[in-house]
Amino acid sequence: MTVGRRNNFTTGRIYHDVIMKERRGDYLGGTVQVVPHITDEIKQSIRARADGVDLVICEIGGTVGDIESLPFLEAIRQLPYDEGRENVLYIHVTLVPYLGAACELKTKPTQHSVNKLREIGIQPNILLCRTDRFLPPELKEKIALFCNLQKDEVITAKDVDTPYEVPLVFHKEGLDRLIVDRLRLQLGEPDLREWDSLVQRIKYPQHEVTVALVGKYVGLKESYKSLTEALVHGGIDSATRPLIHWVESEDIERRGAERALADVDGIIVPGGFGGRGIEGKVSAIRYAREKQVPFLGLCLGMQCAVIEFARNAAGLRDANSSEFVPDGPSSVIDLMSDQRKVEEKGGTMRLGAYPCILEKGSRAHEAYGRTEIMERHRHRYEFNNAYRDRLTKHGLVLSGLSPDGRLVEIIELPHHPWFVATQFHPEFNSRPRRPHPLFQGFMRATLQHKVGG
Amino acid sequence: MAKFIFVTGGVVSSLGKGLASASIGNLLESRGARLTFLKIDPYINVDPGTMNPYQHGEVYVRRPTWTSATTSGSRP
Repeated sequence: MTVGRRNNFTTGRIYHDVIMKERRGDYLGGTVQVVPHITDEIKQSIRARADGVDLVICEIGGTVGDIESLPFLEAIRQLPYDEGRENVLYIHVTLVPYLGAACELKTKPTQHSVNKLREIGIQPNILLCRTDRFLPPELKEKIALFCNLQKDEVITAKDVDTPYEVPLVFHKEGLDRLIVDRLRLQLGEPDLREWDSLVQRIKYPQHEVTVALVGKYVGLKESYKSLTEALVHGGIDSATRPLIHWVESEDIERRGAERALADVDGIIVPGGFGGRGIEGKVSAIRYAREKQVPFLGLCLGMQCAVIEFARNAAGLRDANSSEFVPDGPSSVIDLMSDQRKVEEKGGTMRLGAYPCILEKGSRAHEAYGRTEIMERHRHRYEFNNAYRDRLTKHGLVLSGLSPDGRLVEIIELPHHPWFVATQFHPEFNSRPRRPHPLFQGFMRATLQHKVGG
Repeated sequence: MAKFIFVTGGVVSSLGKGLASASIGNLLESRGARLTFLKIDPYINVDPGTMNPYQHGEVYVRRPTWTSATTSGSRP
């Protein structure tokens, strides 16, 4: 599902809007308080999403018991009074840990957290219990008794191999039927055959390839979720599972690309910020280019690919980005001209989806199968146009440009199995049922690399 | 009139509330429901774009994103 800015809001946004109203005099000089002014604003923001849909699924971030989430919980507690009791359902996700020493599943944390919710005035309708094993009936009964629920309202949310399996597990536990009943929704039976076969193909692939992700990662792997999932999606049609090999770029600086990247079938340099580890990324890209290893560069990864090409293929030995070397002699990556005047950091990047025109006959064009695409951006620096001639003369293909031709969005190399890098983030546009063409192309190339080499 | 499902989390964070919400959406959509998602972040940041990825995971970029007065005039 594609979501927009109206699908998310923060405490800050709510307070901002309330304070703006207060300054405008909307409250006629009255005392502005958390209840009712903040909670009313929250309810209004939630209702604003309900136009034209049967159902709004709203996730409250944080953990029940935090000070931060209290105004939101108060607002959603009030909602049944406005919307009708039968139109609101509360689902609470809790943890039922297994204690190895006692050989037992423990329900006490769940009881406490449901009590906490009930103190606030919310009786959950359904509990989703995260656990590593199916909950036996007597345990469900115990949780149900203590939490004021029916036994069938306690659902096992067992750990699974792939997140795409979760809907199937929930369906087996009867969760969707329960929701349909409780909310009196007029809906038919689900057809899950297509989803089931998709999950089977992800769980039991025919091939495996090793893909190196080169970056600064310690503690950050979750931050590349869209990327690793886009690789999974990209491998579905060729029945190929990507095994992610996380490579610290500083490790490449220490050990050299040859050793750190031996035996990988593809290399990805994803987005990131800051200059640390840049040289390692550049070495990885050089390795990919020279050894004909499939390569995909994203955002900063494209900028590193430009730097690498400038240095090692176009003879600009000092090539760098002005982000890392502010007044260097060959800044092949430079601050976007629109960004020069910008001093604030919040909300000032080039952000969001922009159109891009693809060069006919390029690999990107072949992959997408059309000439105009929309992709999502998040950056301040860009390819420096002063170096276009120099780099293209040495064989770099600028296969995607902004419609006015000013911004380089995709680069590629023609005499290479797969060397494509994008200024935008294609990973955000990948879905299991609609894999992104660049990830599909990359995954096919890695399989080819493995089989052929 | 639309109906509302609220998903809260207890005990610890990282329980997969988002995945649970998405999976519920997936199931109800395959039953033919028209639905939408809403995520509420209880933080003072006005938009989530400046939040720390170490604590909150990936900074996801949507199609139309938040803009502030400083960018609205500078888009190419």
